[in-house]
Amino acid sequence: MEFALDYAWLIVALPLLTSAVIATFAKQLREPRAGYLGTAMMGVTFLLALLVFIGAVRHTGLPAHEPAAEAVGHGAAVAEPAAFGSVPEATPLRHWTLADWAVFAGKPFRMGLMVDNLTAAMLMMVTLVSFCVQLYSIAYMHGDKRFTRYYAAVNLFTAGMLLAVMADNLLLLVVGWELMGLCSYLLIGHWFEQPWPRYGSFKAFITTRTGDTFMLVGIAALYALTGTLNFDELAAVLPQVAQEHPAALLLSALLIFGGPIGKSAQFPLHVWLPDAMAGPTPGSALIHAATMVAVGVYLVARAFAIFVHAGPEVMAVIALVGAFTSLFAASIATLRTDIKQVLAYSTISQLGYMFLALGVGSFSAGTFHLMTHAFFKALLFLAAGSVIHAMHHIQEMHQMGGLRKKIPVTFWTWMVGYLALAGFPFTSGFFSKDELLLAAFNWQAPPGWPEWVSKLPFAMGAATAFLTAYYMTRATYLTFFGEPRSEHAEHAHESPRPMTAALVILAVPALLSGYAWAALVYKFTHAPIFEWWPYFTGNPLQHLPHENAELVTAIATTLGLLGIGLALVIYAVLPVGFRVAAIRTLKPVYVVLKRMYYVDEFYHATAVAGTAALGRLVAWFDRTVVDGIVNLVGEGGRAWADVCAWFDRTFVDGLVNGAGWLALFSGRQLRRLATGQVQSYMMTFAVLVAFGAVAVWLTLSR
Amino acid sequence: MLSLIVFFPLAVAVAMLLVPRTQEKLIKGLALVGTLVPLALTLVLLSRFEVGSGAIQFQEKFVWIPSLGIQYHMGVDGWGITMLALSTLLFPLAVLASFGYIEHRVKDYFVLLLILETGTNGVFTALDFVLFYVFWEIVLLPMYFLIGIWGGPRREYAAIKFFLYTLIGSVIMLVGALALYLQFPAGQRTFDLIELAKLTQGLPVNALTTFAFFALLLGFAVKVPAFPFHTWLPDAHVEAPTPISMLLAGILLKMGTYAMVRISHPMLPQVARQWAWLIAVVGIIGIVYAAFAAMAQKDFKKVVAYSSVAHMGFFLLGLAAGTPEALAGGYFETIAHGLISPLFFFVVGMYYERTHTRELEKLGGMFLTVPAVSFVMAFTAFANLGLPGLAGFIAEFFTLVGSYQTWGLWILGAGLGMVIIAAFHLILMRQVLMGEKKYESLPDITPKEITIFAPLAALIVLFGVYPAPVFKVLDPGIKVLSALLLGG
Repeated sequence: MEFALDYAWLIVALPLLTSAVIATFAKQLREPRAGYLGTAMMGVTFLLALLVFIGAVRHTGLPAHEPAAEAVGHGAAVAEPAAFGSVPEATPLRHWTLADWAVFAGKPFRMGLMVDNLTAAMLMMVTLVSFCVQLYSIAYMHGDKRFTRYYAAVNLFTAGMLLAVMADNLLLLVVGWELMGLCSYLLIGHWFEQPWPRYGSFKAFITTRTGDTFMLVGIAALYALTGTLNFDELAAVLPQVAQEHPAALLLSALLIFGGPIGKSAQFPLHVWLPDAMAGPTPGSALIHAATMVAVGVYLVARAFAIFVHAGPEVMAVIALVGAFTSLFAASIATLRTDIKQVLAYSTISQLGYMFLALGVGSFSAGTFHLMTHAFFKALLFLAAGSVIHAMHHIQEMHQMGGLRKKIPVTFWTWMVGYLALAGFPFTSGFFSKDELLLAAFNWQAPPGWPEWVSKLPFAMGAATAFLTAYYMTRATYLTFFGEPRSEHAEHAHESPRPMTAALVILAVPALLSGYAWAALVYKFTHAPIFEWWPYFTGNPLQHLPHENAELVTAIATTLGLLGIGLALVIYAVLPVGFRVAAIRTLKPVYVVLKRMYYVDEFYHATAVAGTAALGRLVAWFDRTVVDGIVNLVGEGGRAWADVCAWFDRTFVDGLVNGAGWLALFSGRQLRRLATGQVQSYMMTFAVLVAFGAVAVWLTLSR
Repeated sequence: MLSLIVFFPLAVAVAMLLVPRTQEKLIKGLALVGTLVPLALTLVLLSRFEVGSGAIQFQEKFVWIPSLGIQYHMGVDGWGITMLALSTLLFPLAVLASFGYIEHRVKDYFVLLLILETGTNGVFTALDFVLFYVFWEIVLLPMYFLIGIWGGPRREYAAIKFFLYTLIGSVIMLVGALALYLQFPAGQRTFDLIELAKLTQGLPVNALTTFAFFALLLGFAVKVPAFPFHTWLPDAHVEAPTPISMLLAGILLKMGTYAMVRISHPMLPQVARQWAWLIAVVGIIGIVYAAFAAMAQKDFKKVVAYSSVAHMGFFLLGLAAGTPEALAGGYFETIAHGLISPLFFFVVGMYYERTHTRELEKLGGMFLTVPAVSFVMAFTAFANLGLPGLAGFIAEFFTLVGSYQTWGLWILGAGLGMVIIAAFHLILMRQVLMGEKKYESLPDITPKEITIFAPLAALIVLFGVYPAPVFKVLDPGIKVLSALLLGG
């Protein structure tokens, strides 16, 4: 299958082309042909990505030998050449380079695409999710007046993600990154006649752009240190740079992390993601599962060397931001009543998990959760869309209930996604969450930091596991179980075939992708396939601990089951009166959670209001002060000019005429004088000043 | 060849004077010929341009006033030919944009427009200071009348403001140049920009060279315009007719930026090094200040005008940093802005012609009313806010990348500006494009408008995806200037 690798660049080109074709021939294609075209092309792209993936797998092979049981750290990796968790081959499988994309003082700036194992896996995941989203949208977007625009945006969006994934340097990654920013703006603002989409699209773009700015400055700092932005060259020079300029590299890495904080919606820049729900639901699935938010995680993984070499402090910041965000967002999700809002906060929370994993040094766990999450979260969003479709665009869970019998396919596929997200044993999320919590459990805070910090990531991660199981059970129960609580719920119908087909397709990887790295299964079977992922995408700089694996699995599973149980007790067993009483007793907590910790309010009072006020202030300053001075000078000049004109006529003329080499200019001035207009006087005045100044300098310079 | 490119429009203008003013078709045809021929000739030059060489090419050198060291010296290197290409590209587009838009005193208008092109093309090709100054001043007069006669309601105020500002600027610049010229004994004196620079680079940093540097810089900064000399620009733009706004933003501002890399900085790099921090501060303030000011504007055109000020701040920042990346990024910004901002002013014009208003409050829902025009606006707005894949991003990215090496974290200020720039563009789009229909039906895009949009958009995309052609042309000059500015 390796021949497919030679054409891997087509994986970017095809969606780009599709998008252009749909946008150009929007009038000819219309609905549903634009949808067919987009879906078919993405299907082809997926098949190609699959071939590329298989090619990469065959090239890499399976882990050849029994992996060492103990941890493989920085030092140990050198001692054992084929150590478990290291990259089988450092160089990419394929690399296309444009050597002279730019040049600065003779130094070329390279630009290129590449495929390595991580990229191959990402390409397959992104194209599969995008394919399902497009297939699904044929029915979901039926009747939408901007059907073609939607498909053009979705394809461009996918192309942006694929470009970022295949980029061989930070600049190109940022290009793909920002292309997604544009497309998310278009998708979130799809129904731009309404206020919420307008607000949501604006907020998404500006919030992520704020993070991007820090990232751009960080990239600039990195370039100043290393003189390159290419990942392979960076990997080569970073160890030395880390020795020579540790502080500068640390600063650069922290600034770069600002980008992922914005794009992957981490605290405190998470605020845009819930409002990004204003767009069409399949669009949300694409944005929040496989593409835009995932790219922040991907960047940290792809540029892992930067963060590792920048020092344990930077890694700790990543881990703690991730851990805090995961807990913070999960707590908000427990009280959301809009089904998409639950998923939105869940996404923020799960992204926090991925950063947590990367921050504690487990490259493999972070990227693994990125993959499994992409599948089950896309599935959940599409299933939620199917519910919303059945409910005639009602998203409030309080009006649902009892839908499991009305929309069985949606229900069962949702259940797969729900259990995976809740970390229910033997689903995909169970395995990936297990690995990342294990890495968190064995993490050590940087030297010099208090000991209790070492405990934080795991503590927060475990608490998140509990809350996740709780809020997802709650959402599932409110939506699908109990009695229908509205007319629409009573008369809900299963969604059309393209939608349910997409759900079924996605349910397969949502259920099974976890077995690519199922330590628990491996323990019993010793089949290398179950330790495949860290071997396939491993990173020599990562730290993969194995201590306390059973303990962590036990804790995480128990907490997950407890969360499920608690939600069932509260919502299925206890009467509604209990909830009312609980809210009354815990009123302050309830209000703060309900208002999402007032973060939006805080930004509105500070950043938003401040920016607008500053804008008005500057505009006023410009009009009155700066321009006022200009006008004052003008008025003064007018008065001066009269004096000077007289002076000019009486005294200076002779002098000027004497200076033959200035005849050219003086002739013009004199002619203007006769016009009697203000500007002529001014010009005379100005020339006079010029002559005066030259005369002074002539004297001085002698 | 260069002289032909410079003076052909003037010759056509003279010929046009002989055409009776009722023959509007002939006049328009002549205007198109008068601007298209220089474009064609410039393309020929571009194809013959030797990219890797830093030498001045296509030189023409004649003795003019030998006793004073004044020559008729023309020639281009990377700095000049890019600007010449920009100028010769934008003029035919502006002529096209004038058709159907300028209806009264058509003949006078096109005569002035052609004279203007001679001026701008001359500025970018003259290599003798006196010649340069003559062209610099030639630009002033037609622009004054073009705004003053064909402008909006406050056209006279705007025209006089423009005139005075740039006139005072140019006079001070003249003083600075003369001060340098007179530094040398009579036999050595020359106005040749290349020769003079060789001499002045050896001067010590003292009161005189500092004065001369700032005199030159001030003259150029007014034109750029740099904060706080920028207030003429919003007024001039608001009053100027659309095609003139296109030229003003696209080319006239670039005279200032070009003059800095051609005159003030290569002549006195030793002074420039000492004051680089000040230029960087002015640049960063310009970016942030103009971005905030743009946010609060209620007139569509003023928003775009302030965005020009902000973008020119990037050029100043890059120039002040002096590293190859920053210089390349900053100068690339002038080219990117030279393509994007004319398009943006044209967009304003497209809406104005349809709705007869530029007040943002009165616009809205345009995506629904005129989808194609609105697509052009969205494209332009995203290009202007620096969307990757389009030319503006390349410029801002490399300006930041290069500036960090010199200014470190101070460039976060420019970063803040980028966020605000994005914000006001989105607000602009929200106000103009989104929301419910405010106009039931308006005519959508015309073939003429597509003809103006297409070449600009194509170049914006091309340079955004593959900037190598521009960077390669600029690189020899950048290498030299960067070495001068960073010092030994």
